[in-house]
Amino acid sequence: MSVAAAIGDTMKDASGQEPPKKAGRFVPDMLMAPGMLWLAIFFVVPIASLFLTSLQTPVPGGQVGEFEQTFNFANYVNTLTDDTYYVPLIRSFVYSGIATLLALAIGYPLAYAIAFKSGKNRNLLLVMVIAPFFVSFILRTIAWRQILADEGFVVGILRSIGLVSETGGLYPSAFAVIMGLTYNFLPFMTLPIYASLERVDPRLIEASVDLYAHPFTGFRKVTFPLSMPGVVAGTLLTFIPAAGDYVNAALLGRPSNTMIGNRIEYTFLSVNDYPTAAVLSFILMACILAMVLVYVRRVGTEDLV
Amino acid sequence: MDDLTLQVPQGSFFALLGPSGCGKTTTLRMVSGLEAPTAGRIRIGDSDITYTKPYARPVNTVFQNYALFPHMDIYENVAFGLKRRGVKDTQKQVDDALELIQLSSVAKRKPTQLSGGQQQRVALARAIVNRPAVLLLDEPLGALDLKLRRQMQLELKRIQTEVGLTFIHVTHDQEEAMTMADTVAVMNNGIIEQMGPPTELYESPKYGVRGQLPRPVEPVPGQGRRGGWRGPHPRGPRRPVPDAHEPRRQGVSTTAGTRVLVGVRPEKIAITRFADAGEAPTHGNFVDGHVLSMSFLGVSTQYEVRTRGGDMINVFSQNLDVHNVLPPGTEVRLSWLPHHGFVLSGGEDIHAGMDQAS
Repeated sequence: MSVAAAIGDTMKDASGQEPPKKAGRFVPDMLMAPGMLWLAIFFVVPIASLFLTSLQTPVPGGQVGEFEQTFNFANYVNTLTDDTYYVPLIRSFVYSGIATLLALAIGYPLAYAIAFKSGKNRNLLLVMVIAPFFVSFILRTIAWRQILADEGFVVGILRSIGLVSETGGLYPSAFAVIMGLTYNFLPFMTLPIYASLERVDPRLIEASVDLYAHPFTGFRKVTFPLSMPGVVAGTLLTFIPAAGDYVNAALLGRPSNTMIGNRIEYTFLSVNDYPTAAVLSFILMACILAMVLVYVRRVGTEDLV
Repeated sequence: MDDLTLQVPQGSFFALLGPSGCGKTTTLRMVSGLEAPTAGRIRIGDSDITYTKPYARPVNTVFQNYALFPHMDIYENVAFGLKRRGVKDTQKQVDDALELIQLSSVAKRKPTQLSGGQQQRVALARAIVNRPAVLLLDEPLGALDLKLRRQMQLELKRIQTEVGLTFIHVTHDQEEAMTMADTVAVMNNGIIEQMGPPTELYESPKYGVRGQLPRPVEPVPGQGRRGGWRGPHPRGPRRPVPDAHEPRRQGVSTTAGTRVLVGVRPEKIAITRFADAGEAPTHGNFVDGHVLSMSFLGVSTQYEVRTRGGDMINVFSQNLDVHNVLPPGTEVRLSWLPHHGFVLSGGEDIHAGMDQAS
């Protein structure tokens, strides 16, 4: 028996307790502390404050923007039944839903090609996926005005083949907003899918081919299911920010294309109706949370490796 | 890959034995269609499958890392091939396959919940259930520990006998190849060096074309002499070698003066105390030396003997009488029957390739 062990035993006998655990048991807590503190100050407190705001009522006889703290839950009912609010809310989910599907349709093949078919160019292609981030989000969105402008080549071609009437255009329109959303969030779709495809063992694909699966069937039965964690992450990373986005609708849409983000911004900053803006924020959050929960449960990511 | 012609009889257990990088896995991948040969044909029975797509070949593979589908349970893994071929009712066949590998109880589990040996058996069931014309096994036991490997070797052999499929097994483990296969092909640098049943391979191994000594074999250098050879003591009597027509002569010339190696398997050497050995036999193979080390292995005792010529020879001696073990330092005589020796060309470095051969 070693000396240390002998001492340990004596100590245990003497005090009836385990010897002190090795130093470092608080290290995980200490590592988490800065993050927790950050979240507490900059997330929990503002959320609570926003929630209180959403229950405020105007000060009787007060000026615009003067509210007092009440617990008026009727704010929620009033907002939800007002079509100037719920229509943009529904529109937001429709636009971001379409944009998410488009981004998936574009991003999945792109990620697949980078993961399996790119060879030496893999890193270059990945950099190209991220490259747009080097230009400001606003600038890139404004650039879509040029792309979809009436004088631009896209509209020109579509007019000449008759898909767009001679006087019609693409900007501003719902189409332009959805294009902008798709474009802006495409990297958030592509990268997680790439990450999960890249981890798929190519030998599993060989095994599926060996077991009589046509390459397409092999993709459907093996590669795609194994890439589901990436698809789930990608769709969430696209859908959630797209649903709350107001830049694309503001820069590429008409007033009839406003999304909930635009309504919140307008209500908060222009109308100074803080409680209604707060209510809208909470409704948006709740809707997204509910959709994400249903989606994740339906797709069932916990089964995947 | 070099020019390679292999004929595997239907229903046999065929092993491709060779060091890594010798082309055995490539051969397998060509048969399964995962790689295409630049020249030549691949036939199964009467049909030429050289350009058949891999998913259309009546061939299945047990992969080295098993390659089980991690998102499917064991049942789904085994049923995969059947379903792809449009078999409607997979239940019975999958159940039978799982029973064959004695894993019926884990059908609903995921591959990651199984041990390595169990995963290996599932990979086997997944291939066998399709009753392929040829089953390919790519070092299927490589990832298992020694004990499990032995167990699985016997298991594989049993299953092969039971289902009667043609197995082509790729391995670098000589013992594994010999335990299981009806025919072993020794492969090196893309060519087949020797092919035959395990006993033939063991009893008369070829001196590797590229200077690789078959193992385990104890080489005794000497000089050729008319009708025989001379051992390390030049004045000693002429010792006989196997008759010229025997395979173990392999056409090596023993004309006077040529350098030769006479090899003998370590278990075929008899070891006796020099004091008890008596007169040098006039007609027999022997060398004298002293015991350098002795390790008692249970069924046998392994001696390391340094001959008077300075060579090291390993001897496995059966433990018929435990009181008769020879301590290090004992002067001994090693002798073996002439027809147990094989003549190897002595011109090459006898230790070349020893490491890879293991």
